[in-house]
Amino acid sequence: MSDEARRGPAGAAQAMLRASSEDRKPVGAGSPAAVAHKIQLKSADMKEEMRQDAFEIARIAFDKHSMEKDIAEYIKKEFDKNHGPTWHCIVGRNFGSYVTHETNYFVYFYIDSKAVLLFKSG
Amino acid sequence: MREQQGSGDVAGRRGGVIRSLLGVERRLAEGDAEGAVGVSSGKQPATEGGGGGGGEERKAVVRVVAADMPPALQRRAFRCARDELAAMPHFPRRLEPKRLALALKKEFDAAYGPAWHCIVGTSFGSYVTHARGGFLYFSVDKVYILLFRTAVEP
Repeated sequence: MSDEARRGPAGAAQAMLRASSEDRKPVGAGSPAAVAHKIQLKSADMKEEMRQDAFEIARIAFDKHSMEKDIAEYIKKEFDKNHGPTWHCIVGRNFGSYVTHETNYFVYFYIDSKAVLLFKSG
Repeated sequence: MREQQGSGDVAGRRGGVIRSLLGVERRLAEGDAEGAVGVSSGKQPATEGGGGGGGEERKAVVRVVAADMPPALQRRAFRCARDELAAMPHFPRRLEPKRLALALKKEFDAAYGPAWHCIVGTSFGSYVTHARGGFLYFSVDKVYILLFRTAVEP
């Protein structure tokens, strides 16, 4: 098994936080359907199709849950089920990370103002 | 590398030492809540006294939120985290989570074999599957640290 260490870019996370504070848009009072979670890819070692699946599942998770732990749980379990074990997920506003993941199975992105780290290992 | 799948049950995988601890995750929720309300701030009152004499640095407060790890490994994680935090800029105080995560992961990979993963921050939630005896979620002052191990396929 080829393994490589990949960092979750905390620097980018900090930069993103600063950018968010400067460009924070007011939340519209429209219908729930009007609320589309904005996704910004930060770093990936993952094929396009799987990345899109991650984004879609993350959107669903954010709609279903409000606690970061529950969002992480939903995403990890969906990936364990759909793409084979073993996946790990971290969700939050402020964190840095250093992990080892299997080749082609790592993605780090922002959804609205929260970062999502999803990777496969073990 | 594509993993060979077992009977579909993670715990049932060949040579599997992976398991999800739902109980631990429930406790993590408390940690998350604390993390969410926590603020990176100044000094904490020291709870441990040292020998006499001024100029002694206060020890950071370490608190274990959840663990499935031998005590010796936990102590090593605490020492490593404290040392790294002490070496980071104090005026103004700045947390460098990636640096701390890297230091911990590298030390544990080297000492106990791959693969270790480390998450450091003041506000995050997580859901992971870890190897038996390879999970620690603790805080040093207001910084939360998740350190866990996964099995490496031969």
